[in-house]
Amino acid sequence: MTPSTAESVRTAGSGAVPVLEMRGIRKEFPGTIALDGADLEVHAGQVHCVLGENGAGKSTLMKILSGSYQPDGGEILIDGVPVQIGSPQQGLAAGISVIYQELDLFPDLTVAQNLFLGHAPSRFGMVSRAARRADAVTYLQKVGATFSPDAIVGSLPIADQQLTAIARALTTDARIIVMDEPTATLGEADVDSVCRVIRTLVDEGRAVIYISHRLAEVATVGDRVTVLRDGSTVARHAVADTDAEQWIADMIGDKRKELTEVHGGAVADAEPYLDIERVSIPGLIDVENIQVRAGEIVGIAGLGGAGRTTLLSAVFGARSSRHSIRVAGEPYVARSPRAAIRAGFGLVPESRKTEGLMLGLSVWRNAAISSIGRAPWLAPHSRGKALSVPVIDRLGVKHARGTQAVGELSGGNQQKVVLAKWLIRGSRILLLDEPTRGLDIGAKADLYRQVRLLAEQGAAVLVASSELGELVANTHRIVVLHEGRAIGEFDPRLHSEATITHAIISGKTS
Amino acid sequence: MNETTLTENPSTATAVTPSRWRSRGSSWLVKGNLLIVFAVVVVVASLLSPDFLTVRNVANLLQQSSLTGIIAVGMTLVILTSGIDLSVGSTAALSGMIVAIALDGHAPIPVALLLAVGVGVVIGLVMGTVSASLRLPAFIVTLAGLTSVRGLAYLTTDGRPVGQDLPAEFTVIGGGYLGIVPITGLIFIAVSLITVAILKFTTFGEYIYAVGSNEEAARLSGVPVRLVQIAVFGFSGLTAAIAGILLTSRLTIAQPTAFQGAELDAIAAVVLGGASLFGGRGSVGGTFIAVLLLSVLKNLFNLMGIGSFFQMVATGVILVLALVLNKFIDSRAARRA
Repeated sequence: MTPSTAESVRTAGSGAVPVLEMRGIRKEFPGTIALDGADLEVHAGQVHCVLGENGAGKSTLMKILSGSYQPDGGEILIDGVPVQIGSPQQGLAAGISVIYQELDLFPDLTVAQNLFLGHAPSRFGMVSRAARRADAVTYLQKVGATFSPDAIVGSLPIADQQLTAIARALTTDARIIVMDEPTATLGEADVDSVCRVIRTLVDEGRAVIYISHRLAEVATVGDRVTVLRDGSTVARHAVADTDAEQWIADMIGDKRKELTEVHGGAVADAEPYLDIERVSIPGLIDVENIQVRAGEIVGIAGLGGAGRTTLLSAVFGARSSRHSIRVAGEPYVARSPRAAIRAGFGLVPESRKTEGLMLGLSVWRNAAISSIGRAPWLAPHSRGKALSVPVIDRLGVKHARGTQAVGELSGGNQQKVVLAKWLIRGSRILLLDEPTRGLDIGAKADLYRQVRLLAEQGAAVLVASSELGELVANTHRIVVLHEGRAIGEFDPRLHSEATITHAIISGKTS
Repeated sequence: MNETTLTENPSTATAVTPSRWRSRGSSWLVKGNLLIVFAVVVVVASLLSPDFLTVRNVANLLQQSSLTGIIAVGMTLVILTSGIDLSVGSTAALSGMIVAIALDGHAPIPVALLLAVGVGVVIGLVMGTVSASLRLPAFIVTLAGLTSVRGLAYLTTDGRPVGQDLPAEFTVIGGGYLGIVPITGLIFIAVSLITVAILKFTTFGEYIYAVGSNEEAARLSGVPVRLVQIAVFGFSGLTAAIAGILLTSRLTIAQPTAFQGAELDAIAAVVLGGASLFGGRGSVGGTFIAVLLLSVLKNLFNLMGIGSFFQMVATGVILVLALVLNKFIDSRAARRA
């Protein structure tokens, strides 16, 4: 590929009928509007980058394109012809292939099996292995892969798995390839090779829709940019004519330049109760210097994959790390969740259904499970009930009866039960990971009201969230993580949301 | 259905409060349906055969079901944590051999009992430790236990039966009656009651349900997950050893071939008793009734003169039907909730 041919393809594509057009796409979920007038126009032979903050609607738009979601309004045109994409199968048939960030490959099968799963070359119902292998070699060469089609996918490095996923998209003869953060888990050298492959794809006349938080990559690989904000398309640019500062400004918008009303008042200048000097997991996070005083709520902001969840679970001892942490001045070793709980920690995990609750068990049992482990080891039921009832009442958990299975409650009430678990235990340090995920606005406000009450009673709270507005409104300080590092600390009373968002996206504090 | 969002599964995210009587009615039906089936079978049996409800027959029935029953009670705890223990039959046989060998060597009865029970517990703990600490599937670990412990049982005497003259003080445990009640039946009832108490009134019991319901959530809540998993296998080894000792005592001889296939009978009873193989749901009470139900059916077939080959087929079919019924009632209850 020479620069001149690439240039000619780029210009040739822009005049013709766009291969894909999405107009005024609208999608509502109960309680939220995910998309409201999103437009996207993609030409063959171009890499089209979609940018936006967390929750701007990028994933929802791609899911509508792939056929996983049905839009509530708007239209989709392929080659200028309106189409209905009713299911992922129809999406594939229309030439749309999505490569998700969590690669949906089958790790125990070979590369060749993965490439042709569901459409293997066959005769009389028998897979013809030789043909499949030969075809696999062809497609692997196309993406510049050097590994064997007989390799087991799970044993390949992530970069090679990424190439396998791209090759699989080619086997279905996709004309529009969507890549959701393909480089999020790759090192620099691997990023370069993926970018090269992307360029060869568009040079063959395909269109690539590229979603990434890494703006430097967008500048390198992209031809055009569409910026989404709050579910609408707010800007379209040619990459060559604009720069990252412009995109960031579009992503942030101007609506939140002024300071929002902030709940967090000043906290007495006491010694930090939780002092995270350093937590590191090689290749994932290396965070230094986060302090939380008793009575303080500190937010952790960052893009998806910035390391918020990893940090909290490392501090809680749920995954091993190298760390030096002090609690109330004493050294603390995050050996296991049990050790953490004994030291006064409580974690409200990211996924309450798989990590936070035992859905089949009762409200009381869930609430008291962390507190009944002290002698005497008898009558946990009546003791659990006695411990739970006042706290459950105080939090206002709506439930039919204490013996009701917690899985039958609404999301907000489930989350309160997780919170109740640590209140009953008397935890002094609360780690909240996306505590409001999936809650409606009322439940969110209610949850933060309880968290503020806890802080007023002397708890030290560390809350990670992808919704900056929430953190700004409810925390005393916000620590920004970027690619596994803490890059700066902001006071929501002094810094506007726009400033903080800029830091979250760009990784620079100035 | 008005609180769901992007990440929620609509069917579980919303709370639709069921009307009181309905939810009570269905939960009563779920819990009570086994009891109803049991009652129906008993009524049918007593109508079909005048011999069924005689003191002798009922005593016999309890006697027959108690050994499998004791094993099944231990199995219940393992299954509640979403584990499985296939080695119980072999462990019971080995413990039965050891108690006889010890008594033949003129060991005092309490020492012989402790030795046999101790071996059972240790085998259970070893398998629990291997499975929990190395995170190997309990199915495979205990399958290996099934063959190797059976091998050990043969090795103790090179395959010969042992215990030709066991003391009468020992044989009375398995063969004796207290009034009209067989002592093994009383032991079965006692073991069941103690286990019910463990599940209901100790934190260990609470942890068993927590681990079985959601292991990760339990770990993040500070439950000592590995210890709980190891302990239930130790308990299962204990109940297997008790059953093994009782059989040796009843037959007044120990055979290394005893309890072949007992693990499957026990698992069948636990599942029929309403426990979920995925853990977190089930009860000793359910297992108890299921054990009785299975032996009543067998008894009924015998009284009716039905051949044992046909019995095997019928028992299997009934087991599946009971599970289908359970599942049906369960999903209806879930839809209402």
